[in-house]
Amino acid sequence: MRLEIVTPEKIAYSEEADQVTLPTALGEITVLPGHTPLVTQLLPGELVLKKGNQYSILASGGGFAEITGKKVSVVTDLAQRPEEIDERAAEEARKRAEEALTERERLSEEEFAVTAANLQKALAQLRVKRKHKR
Amino acid sequence: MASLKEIRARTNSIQNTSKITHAMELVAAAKMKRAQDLAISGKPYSELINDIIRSIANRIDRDLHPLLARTVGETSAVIFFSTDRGLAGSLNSNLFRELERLIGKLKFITIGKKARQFIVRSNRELIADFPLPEKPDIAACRPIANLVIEEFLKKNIDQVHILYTEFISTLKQVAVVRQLLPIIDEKILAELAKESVKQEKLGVEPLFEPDPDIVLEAILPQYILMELYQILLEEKASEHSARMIAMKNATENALELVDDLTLTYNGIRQEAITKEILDISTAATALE
Repeated sequence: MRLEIVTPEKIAYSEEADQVTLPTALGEITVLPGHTPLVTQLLPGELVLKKGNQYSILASGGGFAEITGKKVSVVTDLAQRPEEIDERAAEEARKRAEEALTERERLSEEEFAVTAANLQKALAQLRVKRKHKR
Repeated sequence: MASLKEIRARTNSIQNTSKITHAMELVAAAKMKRAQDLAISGKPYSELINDIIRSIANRIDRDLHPLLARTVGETSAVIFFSTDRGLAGSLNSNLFRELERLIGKLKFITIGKKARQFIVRSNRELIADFPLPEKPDIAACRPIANLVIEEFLKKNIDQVHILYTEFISTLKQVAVVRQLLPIIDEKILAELAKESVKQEKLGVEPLFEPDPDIVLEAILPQYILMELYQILLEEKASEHSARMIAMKNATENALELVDDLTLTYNGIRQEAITKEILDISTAATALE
């Protein structure tokens, strides 16, 4: 099946894939070719795709996926391979977000949502990076 | 006929102008490259979101979400993207011309100084003005998206249009108006009707997770935000491209003028020399 992962900056992946695991709002799902049509919301997390015998892992941000029998389209604001992740920058982003969240009453509802999403994204990046190192 | 001194002064001043325009051309060219790359790399994302929205809208009741629904009434908010600075060829005047063609009751949201000035001077209704960010970023689009969604949901406005300069190539940028809200316009609707016939035959009915409402609630504002961001990128790419070309032309014109003036200058100078020699030789002949 065709897998397309697109972020605002670039097309992160556009190739055939044998299976893909997506972090959706209801938990992880693994999509195989011929999956029933589905539109789902994605949360920041790890996206695992398999091509042949090779697994690759991406840190992904919030977004959406549309699954049809032949194609999986993923729109997300982040899709990074472990080697692309700057661990220090992600760590700093995590700290900044955590600090901001401790003063929740000073944030508007929207700032809170954005910061919380940034925190989740930074955590996803760090998880993927560290997993890859081991 | 102008004196030698005057011509020299003019040549110098034009030469200085050409230096400035050339410098501006180089600056614009550097910015243009970056802006174009961004605008081009952002396109697939906004297209894919578009596709997803269409395929969803196709298969659900359009009254499910107010941002999708058809509206009656002709109060329209126009989000007007322009530049802060001039010297970008006909970029802004094309936008102004396009604007004159809009009909209905219009309210404006401007981005960029030129748009604001135009709306205020022509006594149109301005509801908000946002600064044009030097470097385009999504955060700058968020307040605009929130404002139009809020006004639209409160039914203060029936439609939202965007007036901006579409980036086609370095040499070509076109002022266009596009409908942002409601998300489904009549043209798309006609296409969808065709597509849905096809799909009914295939019998695919997608699932929504967690459920249609939540997915729509999340995807629609995101779509609007990303559309605005993409348009901001295009506006920037158009601005720098137009300025680059305008400055390139200005530099070329200035150099052409310098050439002409130099020719005139040399002609006058030669004439003066000839006259002087003539004077001397006449005097010499008279003495003999």
